[in-house]
Amino acid sequence: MRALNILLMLGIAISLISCTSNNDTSQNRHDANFDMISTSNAMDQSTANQAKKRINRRASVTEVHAVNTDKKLIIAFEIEHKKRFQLADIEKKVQKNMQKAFSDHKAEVSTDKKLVLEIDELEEKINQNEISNKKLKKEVDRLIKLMKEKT
Amino acid sequence: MADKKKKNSPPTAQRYQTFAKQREVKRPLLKNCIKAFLIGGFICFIGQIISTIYVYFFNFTEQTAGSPTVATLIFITMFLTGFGVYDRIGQFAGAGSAVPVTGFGNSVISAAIEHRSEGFILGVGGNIFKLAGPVIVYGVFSAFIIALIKTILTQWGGL
Repeated sequence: MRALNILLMLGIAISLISCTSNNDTSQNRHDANFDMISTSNAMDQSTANQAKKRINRRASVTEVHAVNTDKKLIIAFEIEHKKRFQLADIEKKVQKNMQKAFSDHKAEVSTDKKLVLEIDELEEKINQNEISNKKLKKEVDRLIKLMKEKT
Repeated sequence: MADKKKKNSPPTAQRYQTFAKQREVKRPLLKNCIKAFLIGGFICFIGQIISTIYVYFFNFTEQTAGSPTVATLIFITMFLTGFGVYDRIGQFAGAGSAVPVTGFGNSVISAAIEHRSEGFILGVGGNIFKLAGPVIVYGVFSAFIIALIKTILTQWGGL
């Protein structure tokens, strides 16, 4: 019984400590990790860059990556760890926002770590002109398929 | 229910029960809880490492990395059970090693090892889910109940 009491107290103490929000520094220090990618060559990435800027306005975003083809736009972003409880909600909102803002593209949004890594890699390739337009389209299609996978 | 049973039992039995209760070794509940918490957490930590490896080095997303992670953990448990290491972990950690999926794997594999001498069909085949059977039955049953509740809420509750 005594042990149970101690456990209960510990549980309450931990939940109380963890629930106090410390939003003093993180709000000001908003430096989401994102780079603009080339807009000059055949694969114009200005839509992706605009999307990144828009998403970056959200305070909780820590990293954004986006790539577009002429019809599709894929975005992956990460948010602060403590905001991950609202992850599904935020993702839905961003998806809706992006679809509205870039209605001439089909926007796909993801918060999956894998997509963040893959799109980051793809951006690098575009920046260094290592990928052809055709290959980019194929790659984007593959990533969209990856996003939709459930099991 | 236990109290009712106690009242109905003869006075000598009641006396014996109080006598036994006084002398019985007390379970170190808090210590057991902490052990289970730490070892269980450590198993989950290993699972998280495996899952992260699948995301970083293989073609899995966070969403899809779950199944191969579980498979890998059960595979590791198979070896640990076969070599007799998992028994010791179980002895030390209690529920901490039984609740994660490795506990489920252990219960399947240890049953298979135990009944191997009775033959492959009636021995291994008939007994492999002896311990894990309840987990499957009540897992499926509770999933069914939850699905029912969710369906009712989304269909009629407009959630």
